[in-house]
Amino acid sequence: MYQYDSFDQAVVDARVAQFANQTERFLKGELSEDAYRPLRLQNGLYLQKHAPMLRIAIPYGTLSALQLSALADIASEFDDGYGHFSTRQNLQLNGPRLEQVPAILRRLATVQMHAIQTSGNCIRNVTADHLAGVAIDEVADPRPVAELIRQWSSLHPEFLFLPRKFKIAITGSSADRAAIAVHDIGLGLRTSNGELAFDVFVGGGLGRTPIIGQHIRAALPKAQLLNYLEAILRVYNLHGRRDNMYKARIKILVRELGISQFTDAVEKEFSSILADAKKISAMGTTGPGLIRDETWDSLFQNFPVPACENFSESEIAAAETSCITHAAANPGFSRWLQRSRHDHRQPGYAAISISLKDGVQAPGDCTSAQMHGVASIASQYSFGEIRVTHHQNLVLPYVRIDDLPDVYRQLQDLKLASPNIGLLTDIIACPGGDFCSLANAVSIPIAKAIQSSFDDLDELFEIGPLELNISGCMNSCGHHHIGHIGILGVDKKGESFYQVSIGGNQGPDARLAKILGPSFAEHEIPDVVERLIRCYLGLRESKTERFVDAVTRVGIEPFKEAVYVSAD
Amino acid sequence: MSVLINTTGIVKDSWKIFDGDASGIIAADKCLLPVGELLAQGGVWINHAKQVGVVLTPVDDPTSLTPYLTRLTLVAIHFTALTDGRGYSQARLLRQRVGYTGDLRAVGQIGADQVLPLTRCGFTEFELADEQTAVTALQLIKLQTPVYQSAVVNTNIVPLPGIDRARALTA
Repeated sequence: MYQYDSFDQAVVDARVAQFANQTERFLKGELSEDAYRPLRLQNGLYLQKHAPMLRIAIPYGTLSALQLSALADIASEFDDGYGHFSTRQNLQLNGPRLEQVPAILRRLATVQMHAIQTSGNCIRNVTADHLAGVAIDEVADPRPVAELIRQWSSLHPEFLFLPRKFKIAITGSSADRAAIAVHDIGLGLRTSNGELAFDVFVGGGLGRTPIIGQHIRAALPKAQLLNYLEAILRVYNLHGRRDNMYKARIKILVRELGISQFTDAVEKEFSSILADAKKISAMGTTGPGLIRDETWDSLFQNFPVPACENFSESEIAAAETSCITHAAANPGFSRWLQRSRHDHRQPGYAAISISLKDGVQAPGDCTSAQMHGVASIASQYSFGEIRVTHHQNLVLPYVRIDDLPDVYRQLQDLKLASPNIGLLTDIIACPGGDFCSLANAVSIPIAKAIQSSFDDLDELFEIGPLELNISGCMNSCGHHHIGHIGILGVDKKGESFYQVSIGGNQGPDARLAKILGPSFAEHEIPDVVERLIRCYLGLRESKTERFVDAVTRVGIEPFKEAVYVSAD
Repeated sequence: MSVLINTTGIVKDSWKIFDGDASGIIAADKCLLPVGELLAQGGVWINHAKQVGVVLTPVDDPTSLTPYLTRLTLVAIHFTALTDGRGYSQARLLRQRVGYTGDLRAVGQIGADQVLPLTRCGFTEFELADEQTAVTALQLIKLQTPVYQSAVVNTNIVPLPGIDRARALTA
């Protein structure tokens, strides 16, 4: 994975010093609350209900074992001994003290981490496919691109005060595990005439006005990537709405102008930027120029493939056989394999998902002991590398097949071997009203109630792949709009209710879920989910027709009936 | 009382703002005009005043200043809110597209912590709320802050990671 050079380190160290100074001036009363707010937000710090929340960036979801151990230490030293992995591949600490935040940032900087632009109206942490670099369906590794964008966007002086937050996601595969259609900018890596190029999508997003992103550029040459991003950002910065924060995301600008007029504006700005770049280099300096092939090559070299064994076919066959034998004798291992093992580009290896959805802890929560444990397993079995997924789970990207039983056993010891990846109880949920000051309703208790009413593994496997997403308010951090089942907390005259929608989907076939009807009380939700599931099981054509496929085929009416009519 | 600074210290503001009443402005003055006045009566002012400057609001297009480029010695960009970042883009356009090389002043809602990014977008002068803010801003500017982007100033650092960076670091 990428290692900071001395320049990267200097940038992060300087930001720590700058933030420490800003916080000190705020605490001394030299900086007003209003003046401090955007500064702390640009550094991932919210002043929340019970305590501040610090959001630590995990750029494109890639972590080293050393970094995960440091996060574990920080969580126990400065917080209650756990962290929350978010849908944006970040880690949130829910209880540090404001005065301690500079010390946390200092500690993070020692392991090449930071909290730069994890909130605020600026370019946020760049996310990418959690199977980047190991997936078999990948055109190219999105991580070098994401790292380039991380650096370009970090403290970019022009784009620190955008109309609203700005999220960029990148995928290197047509399967799109990064949900690029619901980001302000989504980038898909493609090849065009044998050269790396980008498919660019713009104006996607969830929140209170969910919109699927539109295709704005095919085959953008890799040399011009940053110029094109700059063009989109500048058009947005100058013309995005600032009169109403709910209409300030780029998706609203794209919708109001129409994609064709918006595209014209971007293309015009883009040509001008390319012309400016020439003019500036004619002045004898290096401007915001093109990215040369040589630069791209060295960027990719910054993400070397670890020294995997080159197994012979017979060695791989033997490892697979032993895995099968082991699974036959151990149904728990067998189930876990079915859900957690992903195909790997390197023969003899697998990528392994670690579920952070055991039904006991809140979705995405991980204790310091578990983080240390995963770090140690990663060091022993996965070249010291871990990935964070936008499903709020972890991944060990390089595990030998013959090591799978050992890895399973060790994860079991950490209570991290739930065999529910991609199933109904693998719920995506925001922290909700228990922690977040924006929330209208709680999310975590809803998730736990559903998880405990679906605690039969046979039943879960029978139901098959299902994504259930919960957001505690319409800011949609739990991505409920793209859940196969989406649950949204709403506030009605001071009381919490939940709106249920179905048929959402992410990935290349991204769709928004449709609202079933009137909302429900908190205690009704597990029963509503049960009814939806029973309805699905009754009408599916075969076991291979997933819940979301069945909704697409028959529409929401039968589900509506199952939930409302027979409920009377 | 607001305090004007450049990147090295507090400076005296010698500009007179035209606010619709020309009676107090004499030929020897430096006149700061709203952009509408410049576009409508620019020729008259340029002949009348010693020096002419212009104030851009967040909705004004900096490329509209192109015809007056050689006669403008000050452009002020007004920030209506600290969190309204349009002025940063306007400044870059003015420097990198229009090619304006005179003084560029940030006025309105800006604080000491904004001075560094403003400088990097091409601003040279900053009108701050009070002396304390000005003193803090001047301290912050002095810090050597490494940055990734080649914005308007320091266009000659090579920030891209990899081979370019390695060369820059060993140079």
